Amino acid sequence: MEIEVLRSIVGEEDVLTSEVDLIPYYRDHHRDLTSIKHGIRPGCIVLPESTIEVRDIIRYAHENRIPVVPRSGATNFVGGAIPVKGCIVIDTSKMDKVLSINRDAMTVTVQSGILLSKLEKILENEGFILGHDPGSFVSATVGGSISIDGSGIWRPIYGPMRDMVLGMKVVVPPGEVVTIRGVQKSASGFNLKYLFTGSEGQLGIITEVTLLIKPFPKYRIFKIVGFRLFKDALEATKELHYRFLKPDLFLTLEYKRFEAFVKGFGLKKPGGVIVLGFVGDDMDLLKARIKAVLDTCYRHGGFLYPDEVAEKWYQMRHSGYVIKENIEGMLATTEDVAVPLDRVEEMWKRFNRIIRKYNLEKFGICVYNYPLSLSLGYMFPPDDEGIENYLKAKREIVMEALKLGGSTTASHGIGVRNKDFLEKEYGKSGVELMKKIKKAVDPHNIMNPGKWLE
Amino acid sequence: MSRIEKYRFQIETCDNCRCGFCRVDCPVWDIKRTESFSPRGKMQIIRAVLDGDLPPEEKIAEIFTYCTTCGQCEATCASNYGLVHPRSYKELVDVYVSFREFLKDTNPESFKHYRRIVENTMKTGNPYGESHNRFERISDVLNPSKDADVLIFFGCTSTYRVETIARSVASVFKKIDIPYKIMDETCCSSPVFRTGFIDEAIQLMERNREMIENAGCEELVTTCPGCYSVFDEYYREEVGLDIEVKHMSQFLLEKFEDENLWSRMDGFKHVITFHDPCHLGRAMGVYDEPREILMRIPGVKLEEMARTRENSRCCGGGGGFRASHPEDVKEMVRKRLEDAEKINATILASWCPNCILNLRFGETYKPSRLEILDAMEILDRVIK
Repeated sequence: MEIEVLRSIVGEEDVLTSEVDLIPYYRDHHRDLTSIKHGIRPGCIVLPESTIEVRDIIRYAHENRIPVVPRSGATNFVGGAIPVKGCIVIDTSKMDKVLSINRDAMTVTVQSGILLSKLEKILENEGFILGHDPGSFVSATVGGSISIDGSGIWRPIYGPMRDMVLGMKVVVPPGEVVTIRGVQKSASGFNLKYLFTGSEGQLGIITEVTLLIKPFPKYRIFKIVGFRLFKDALEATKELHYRFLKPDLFLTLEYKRFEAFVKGFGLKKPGGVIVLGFVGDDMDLLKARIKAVLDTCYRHGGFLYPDEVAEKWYQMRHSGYVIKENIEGMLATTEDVAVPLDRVEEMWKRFNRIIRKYNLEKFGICVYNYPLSLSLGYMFPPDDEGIENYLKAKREIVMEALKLGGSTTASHGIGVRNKDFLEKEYGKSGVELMKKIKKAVDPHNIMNPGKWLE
Repeated sequence: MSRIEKYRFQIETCDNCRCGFCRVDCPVWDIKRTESFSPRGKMQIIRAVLDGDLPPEEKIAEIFTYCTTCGQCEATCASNYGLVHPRSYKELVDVYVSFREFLKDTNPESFKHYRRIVENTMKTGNPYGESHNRFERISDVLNPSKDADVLIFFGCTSTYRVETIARSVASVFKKIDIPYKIMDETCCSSPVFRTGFIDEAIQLMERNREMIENAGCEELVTTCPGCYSVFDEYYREEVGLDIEVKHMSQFLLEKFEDENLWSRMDGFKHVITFHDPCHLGRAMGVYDEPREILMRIPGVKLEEMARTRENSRCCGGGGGFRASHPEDVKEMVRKRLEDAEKINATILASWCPNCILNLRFGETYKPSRLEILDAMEILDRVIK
């Protein structure tokens, strides 16, 4: 690799090659059990500032068949930003500008490396909201969220990330810029927007994005309803779906997943809770919606928690993101499978059985609603036996989800962590089709190699 | 066991997590944007060095001079939301400080600016290397008493660099007639400690501890948050100092309330925006007292900047950063001045000689329409 060429593209200071500069790029947020400590050494890091610079890097990499690994917040759970040996890591941290806000069209155009948290602050000052609020909200970026096809807690009203993306610029091999126009609906040709959403940097690098923004709501109201049994919470959840009573934030959790938030309140411990959020400018309308939803919950034995608990939950909502840290000597992890609505309870039962079988500890299930997906949380001791049991349990959990007609992952993506399940989910023909698409776009396989398309 | 080894748990917890919440508002990452200069990256580097995977070379030492010890990383750390591992501000900052100690002897080039601070301090008792008596230029307003319950520690920056603050402290105490003692103070050790020269810092602490104990006062009061945080935290831990320590804002608020001194204030018709000093706010949790005092000055209206209190943007003035990276400080202080410019205020106030020195330094190349004033300077203007 000719470092001088890269320096001529992005400037002297924005190409890093020393060992100490590379070490923090060996890994991302994913807990890769085979490389907890060491990770993989990239060849160099480049920090471009524009689409043109990214284009020139990709052009050089394509011509010289050098692998390229895109990286922004590196907050993903699946190893999507883990380098391959000798690759160029493109760190988009300097591509963090808001290019324009069009108040009348209700759109914002940004560089892809902008942090979600920074963008939301800027939009709030302008009276708008994007509304993508995942656990990694603080340090994740717009580009990363699209690449992983992420979703956040406000998904019932603002949708998952894919629903917020209108247009984008993507740099693809051999170094071309593809522009997808920022309109709210297009039936023009293959839907390239969705092709790149969730592609995890394996087809190209998203450099600019036009997003749909919404008016910042005047009111934000949170309610938390407890249920004696988690099963009752699930029944209430199903009825809310069947009646299409759609709160703007709607999570159904096992108490274990929630208990940290009620510490110090001295409240009774239920089996499950439903967390609800409602946003809008019209209080009468909000009150009517809240009443309809709460009445449904009450019919299933639900009881309302004090509003302070709900507020505290909201303030601390991102803390769950680091739950994978050591907790009393255990490592924690989640599987974010998706199953059809009528199979949620069965999935929960099977998850419990697997946890018991491998003698692991559960920290509970969270059902995200609209669109429906699950987060199954559990912990294991970080010794050889614990890790072996974790790997077996993980496989069984995902396989059970697939047997129930589900999908491997709802928001975390495939990366390296979930790559074994892709063929189980899509069959050979499905994976072959993906590989053909990859080959057509990136014939030299330079874009984020070593992930699920290999 | 070296001091840094005591923090194995914190280092490994962070290295295992790598969430990067800490990067977001870090003033260093804000200007550098590479992982090795982010708190998350630094933790990985520390672990690699401690595990013997990376030699503690000069380049690493240079990276670790890039920290203002502002504690913003701790404030945004996701595991510090109280659910997983509740911690104090000190822990992450202590990790960096301890790692500086680990690196300092083997990497003289990167630490040369710090070493100069330390040599000055050990020789002259102040980091600036000034040889004249620190009270000499304020002797006309200084009126210490032989019999007082309060010991005022003026600190080096107010006496040697922003003399108007030291003068204002003496003047305010004179006007409100509070007896106080002073001592032949030597640097509190804050810049020496925070740049990683722990042994030398402890020597300085010992010098002051003896004088403080000999003074026989009930309270130690200082207007400098750097001194305040070091006295209240490290003096207790390192040299067993046992005295009530207060920041000037805490002390004066109590006095103003107890003796109803509010009525002695003239009107001061200004909109003020308050910059929280890192070592007063995030380090010590003192956010309300300075605001309460400023707000109760007749005519004053307080307006908050977008980044305030726990999320207050560091001006770049701490942790030895101004000495080692003067060009980067310009960028940091410019951003803070821009935050203030966005507010419809006439005064940018703080309660810290170091922040005031740095903000005024910033103003020399980025002129601001705001007047930059320390709260003590404002009080001296308004108290009759």
